[in-house]
Amino acid sequence: MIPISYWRNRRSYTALMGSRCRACGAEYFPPVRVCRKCKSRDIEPREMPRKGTLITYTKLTEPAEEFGKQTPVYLGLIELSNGVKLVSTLADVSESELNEGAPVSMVIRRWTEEGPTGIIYYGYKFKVDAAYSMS
Amino acid sequence: MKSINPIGIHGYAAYVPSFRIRTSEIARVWKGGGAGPNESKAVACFDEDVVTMSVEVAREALGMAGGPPIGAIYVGTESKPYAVKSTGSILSDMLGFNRSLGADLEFACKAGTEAMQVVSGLVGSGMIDYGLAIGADTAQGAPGDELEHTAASGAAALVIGRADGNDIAEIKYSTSYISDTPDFWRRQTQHFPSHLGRFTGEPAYFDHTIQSSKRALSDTGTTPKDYRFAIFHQPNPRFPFDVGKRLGFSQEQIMPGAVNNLIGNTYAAGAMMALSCTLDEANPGDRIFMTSFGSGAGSDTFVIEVKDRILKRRLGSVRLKERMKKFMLIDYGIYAKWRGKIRE
Repeated sequence: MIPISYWRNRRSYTALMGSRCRACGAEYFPPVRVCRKCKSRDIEPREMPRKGTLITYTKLTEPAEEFGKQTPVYLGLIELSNGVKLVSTLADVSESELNEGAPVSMVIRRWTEEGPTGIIYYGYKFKVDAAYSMS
Repeated sequence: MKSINPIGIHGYAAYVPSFRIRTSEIARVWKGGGAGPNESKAVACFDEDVVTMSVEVAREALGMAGGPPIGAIYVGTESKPYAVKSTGSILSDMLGFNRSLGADLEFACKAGTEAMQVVSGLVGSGMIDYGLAIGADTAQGAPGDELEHTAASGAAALVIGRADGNDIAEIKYSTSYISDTPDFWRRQTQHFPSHLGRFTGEPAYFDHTIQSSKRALSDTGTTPKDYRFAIFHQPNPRFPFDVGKRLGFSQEQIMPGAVNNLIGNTYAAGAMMALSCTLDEANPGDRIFMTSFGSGAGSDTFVIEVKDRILKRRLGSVRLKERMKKFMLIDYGIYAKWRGKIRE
């Protein structure tokens, strides 16, 4: 990751800033410049809902080197409450809770860092809701 | 300390990471057996730090407060992710409050209550309408040091604004007592703190807590019996009860905020986290007496009166002590890997 491109996209990474088509109302994450449904270029920024459900997940035991300390990495396919789907790293995982339909919420976590002297990259991850975990 | 405007708490929140390590596990590794003064402590995950935990509590406290415009974010911490780069500015961007002051404060375990005083001052003087005071730490003890049993992770936040009828509690009074006492410190570039063992008790924790508390009782013309709850910083499970007894407070007054045995000492979040637990149980009209302690050393005391609105604002939220019941245990190896005990 490059610090300047991270800085330009930080609202997407830390506030789930996506986009909405003013013409047909379709919502997107990550943001788009042209609506994939109606091809309109009349697009506005739109913050995505922070809640959704887990559709499925996979477990990476050999992730990229920069994620070494985080191994194993759990990647989840999430459907947000507005229907938008995204792939996200999962946080504080207890594998027995990773069920289809489990309610999840966005949290901010460290993604990675540019070594001990560089920038720390923060961004969204999703975590199974405590109420579901406790039930 | 007197303010022009009355000061109120409009929202509060606390966060404890999902992971715990038993002190018997730490003692097993370093001493071959035994345990620390507390049963377990909260450990931040590999991807958590002061920024991530502060966002968590800030959002929850702001939600309780109804999302008021924030004019200042002050973060009290001794484990800020950057030596030079304001945590407050990172948070302001994540929370969408760019037209605000944002800075970090350091005073060991009382940095969080310092943030409360700074934001109270800004609100009390009329410079801002609302501000966020956060205490957060991923505290570290050197491997094998006795501090390793208690040095824990957590965060707490208060949304402070004018006491205007929408607040859930009013900060009626605050004071501080500080002196140059070398009980605990960390030098530049050092990963772990140093301390003077038992010296951290009498001349540091007890003297400063008692001096600040006595001054508050004297200034307000109150006695311990005038309070339903009392909060004292909890570096271990015993000290808050010991100092409370010396001042004339009962165990029952202190118990609602006591969390050290299960999660350890969350440093700058400690006193504010105890306040969060206490506000979870408080009723309108209750008075709370709160004294923090930070090594170096100093104490801040607050007198807080709970208001009617707390019942409505608290509705539907799960109490912190309930949330703390859900956790995952880790062993020393995972703890060492996650919290930087293994260095290249």
